[in-house]
Amino acid sequence: MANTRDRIRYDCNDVYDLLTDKYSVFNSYVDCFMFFAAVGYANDLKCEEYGDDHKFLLKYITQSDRFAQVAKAIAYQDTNNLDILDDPGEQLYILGQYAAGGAKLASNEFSEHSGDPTAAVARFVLRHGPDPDDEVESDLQDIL
Amino acid sequence: MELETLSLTNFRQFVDTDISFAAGQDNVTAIHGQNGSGKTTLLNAFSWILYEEVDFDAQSNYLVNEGKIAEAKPDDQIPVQVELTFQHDGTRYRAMREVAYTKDGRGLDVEMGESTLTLEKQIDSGWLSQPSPKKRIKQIIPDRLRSLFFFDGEDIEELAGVNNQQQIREAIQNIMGLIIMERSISHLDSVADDFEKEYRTHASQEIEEFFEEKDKLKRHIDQKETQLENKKDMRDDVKRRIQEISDILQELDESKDLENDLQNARDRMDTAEKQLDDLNDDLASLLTKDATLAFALPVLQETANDLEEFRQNDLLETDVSPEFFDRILDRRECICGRSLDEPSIYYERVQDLKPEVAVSDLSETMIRLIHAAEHAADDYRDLQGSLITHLERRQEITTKIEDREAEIERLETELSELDVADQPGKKSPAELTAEREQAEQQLEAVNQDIGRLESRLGDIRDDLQEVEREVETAQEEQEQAQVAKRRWLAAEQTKAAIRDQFEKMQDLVRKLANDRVQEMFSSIARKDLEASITDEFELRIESDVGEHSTEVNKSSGETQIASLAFIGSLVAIARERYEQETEAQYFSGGIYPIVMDSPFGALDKEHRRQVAKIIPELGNQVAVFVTDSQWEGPVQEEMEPIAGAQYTLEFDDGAATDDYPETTIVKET
Repeated sequence: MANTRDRIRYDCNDVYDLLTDKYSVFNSYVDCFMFFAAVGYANDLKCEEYGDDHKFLLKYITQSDRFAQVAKAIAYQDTNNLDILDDPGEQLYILGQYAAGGAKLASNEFSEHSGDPTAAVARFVLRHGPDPDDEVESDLQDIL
Repeated sequence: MELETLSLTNFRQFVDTDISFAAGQDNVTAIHGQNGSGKTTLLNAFSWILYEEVDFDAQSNYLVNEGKIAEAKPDDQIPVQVELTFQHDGTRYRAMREVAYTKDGRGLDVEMGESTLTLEKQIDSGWLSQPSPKKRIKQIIPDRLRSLFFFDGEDIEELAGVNNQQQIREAIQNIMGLIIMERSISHLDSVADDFEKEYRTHASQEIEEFFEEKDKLKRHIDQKETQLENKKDMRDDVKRRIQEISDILQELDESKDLENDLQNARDRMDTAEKQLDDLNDDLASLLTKDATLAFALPVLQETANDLEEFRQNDLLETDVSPEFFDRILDRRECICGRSLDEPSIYYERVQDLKPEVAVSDLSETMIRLIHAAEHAADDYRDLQGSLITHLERRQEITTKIEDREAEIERLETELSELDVADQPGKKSPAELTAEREQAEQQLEAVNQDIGRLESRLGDIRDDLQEVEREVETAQEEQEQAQVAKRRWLAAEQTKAAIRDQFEKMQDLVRKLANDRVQEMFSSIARKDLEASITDEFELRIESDVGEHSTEVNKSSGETQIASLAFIGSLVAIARERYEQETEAQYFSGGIYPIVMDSPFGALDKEHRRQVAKIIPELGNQVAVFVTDSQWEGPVQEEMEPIAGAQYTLEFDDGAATDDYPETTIVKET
C-alpha cells in the first residue's frame, strides 16, 4: 500500500517545460502529467521504460478527487483487477507509463517553434475529445 | 603471599611428594639435587598451578609421570595434581590444579584432559570453595609480576647485561602497574590521531573555495547587473528617440495625419494583443482544469459502467465483510454448524464466497467513481463549449491584429515616401521614418539583450544560492571540525598529563630501586664497585677511581649480584607500598615470595658466596633450587645456617631396577 509521502517518478521531457513553465498552459507538472496520462491511455501509448529522474509526491494526485478517480479508472481498465482501486501506488505506476507515452505524442504535436501553444492544445483537446453535442458540432467544425 | 606447602602427584618425575616452605626469620628454603633431578620441574609446578603454563625447554611438556603411564592399563586414567597452600592478607588458601591423562584403548598413546583449578579459603569450619579461582589468583599475584618472582636464575643476569634498559624499564613499570598508563598513552595517541584526521578532513580548503566561488559569482552578478542597467538606459534612450521622432512626425504638416493614424493603429494593435494575451490566459485556465477529461472521460464512463454492472448483477453487493469470512475459516466451523476442516469441499466453498476487497471500501469507491464520471461528462460539455467560444473569439482578435499589422505597414510605407523636408536643413518624414525604423530595430535588439541578461542573471543567482547552500553545509561540517579539534586537543592534553605522571612515577620507582640496589650491592660486592640504575634505566656497575667513576667490564658474578639486587629492590618496593596502607593510585603493592631456579649459574666460588649472602635479603620468603655441585662449598656454608628448610632431591633413574625415573624430596633440616 502506498504512502502519501511516496513519490511518483515520471519522464519529464521538454514538453513539460513548454506547456507549464514557459507558456503556462498547465498550472503545474502534476496537471500536465495527468493530461499526458489520459492522452497516453486514450491513444494506447504505454511506455514501460522511460526516463524517471523527476518525481513528485503521490499526495498531489490523491488529494484531487478528479485525478484520483481518473487514476483508478485507467488502472482498472489497464489491469481489469478490482484490487487496484485500493492501491494508489500501483495506479500511479501504471499512470506513469501512459504519461510517458502521452508526453511523446504531445512532443510531436506542440513545438516551441510555433509560438504560444495554448490554442493548439485547445484544438487538440477538441479534435480528440468525445463527440460533441449536435448543437456545437457545426461550430467545432468551423474552429477545427 | 606467603608459600606454605607444595604437593605434587604424578607430576613428571614426582609421584607423591611435598615441600613445606620456610617463612619468618629463617625465610630461605633451599632445595638441591643433581642435574635432571627436577629443580626446573618444581619451578614449572608453580607456573602450572598458578597460570597453567609450563616450559621444559627442549623436553616434552607431558606432565604425567612416565612410570604411571607405563603401569596403566588401556583406558585407565592417571590423575596429575599440584596443590599449593599459602597465606595471603591473613587468610590461608589451598589451590589445586589437576588434569587426567587417559591411556588409549590400544595402550599406545595417552590423551590429556581438561585441567581444572580450584581455590579454597580456610574458614573455621574447614575449606570454602572460591568462585572464579583463576581471576582470584591473578589478583593475588598478577600475571605481569610472575617473571619477577618465579624465574630461572641463569636468565636473571641479563638484567644487568648490555642494552638491558627496556627490561629494567618494563620491570619497574610492572611493579607499579604503570603498563596500564603506558597503554593509555598509546591509546590516546591513536585517538588524537583520529581526531586530527577528522579535523583536517572537515577543515579542508573546501569552505575557502566555496567562499571564493561565492565572491566570484557576486562579482559576476554585479557585472551583469551593470550591463543590464546600461542596456535598460540604452532602451530608454532609444524609446525616447523613437518618441521624439514620432512627436516630430506628428508636428510636420506633411506627415502629421499619417503619423496620427499610425499611432492610433499601433494603440489598437496593442489593445488587440493584450486581448489575445488575456484570452490565452483564460484558455489555459480551462485547459489546466479540465483538458484531461477530453481523454479520460471515456475511461471514467467505461469503468463506472463496469462497476454499475457488477452492482446490478449482485457481484459486489453484499453486507458480509471479508473479515467475517476470515473469522469463520479460522474457527473451522460454518455458521450452520458444519465443520470446516482444511482441506475439504466445504472449506473451499466458504473460501470462494469471501470477497477479495472490503465491500464498504469498494462501494464507496464505486459511488465516487460513478459520480465523478457523471460530473466529468457535464464538465467536459462545459469545457467543449467554452473552448469553442474562446477559440472563436481568439480568431476574431487574431484577424483584428492581422488587419492592424497591414494598416501599420501601409501607413509606414506612406510615411517613408514623404521625402521632402518641411524646411531646408531639416529631415524629411521619410528620413525620420527610416531613422525610427532603425531605432525600433535597435530597440528590439536591446530588448533581446535585456532578456538574455535577465535570464543569465537568473542562472547566476541560482548558482549563488546553490553555493550558499554548500557554504552552509560546509560550515556545519566546519563545526564538526571544531568539535574534532577540541577533542583532538583534549586527547593531546590528557595524553601529556598522563605521560607526565607516568614519567614522574616511573622515575620515582627507579630512584627507590636505585637506592635499594646500591645498598644491597655495596653490602656484598667488592668495596670498590657500585651498582646503580641510571636515568636511562640502565643497571650499571661502576668502579670508583678517586673522584671518578668508570663502568667496569661486568663479570657474570657482578651482573648476577646486581640483577638479584634489582629484583630484591622491586620486592622491597612492593612490600613497602603494601605496608604503607596508603590509597595507591595504580598499585597497592604486596608481599611476594621469590622462587628461583639455579641462581648461581656458572659463578666462581667467591661470587657464589656473595650471591648466597644476598639471597635472604631479596624478599620475605625465598626458595632456591640449586644443583649439588653449586650447593657444595661456599653456598652450603652460607645458606645452611640461615635456611629455614632444606631439601634434597633424590633422583633414581630406574636403571638399576629396570624401573622408570622418580624423584623423592627428602627433608634435611
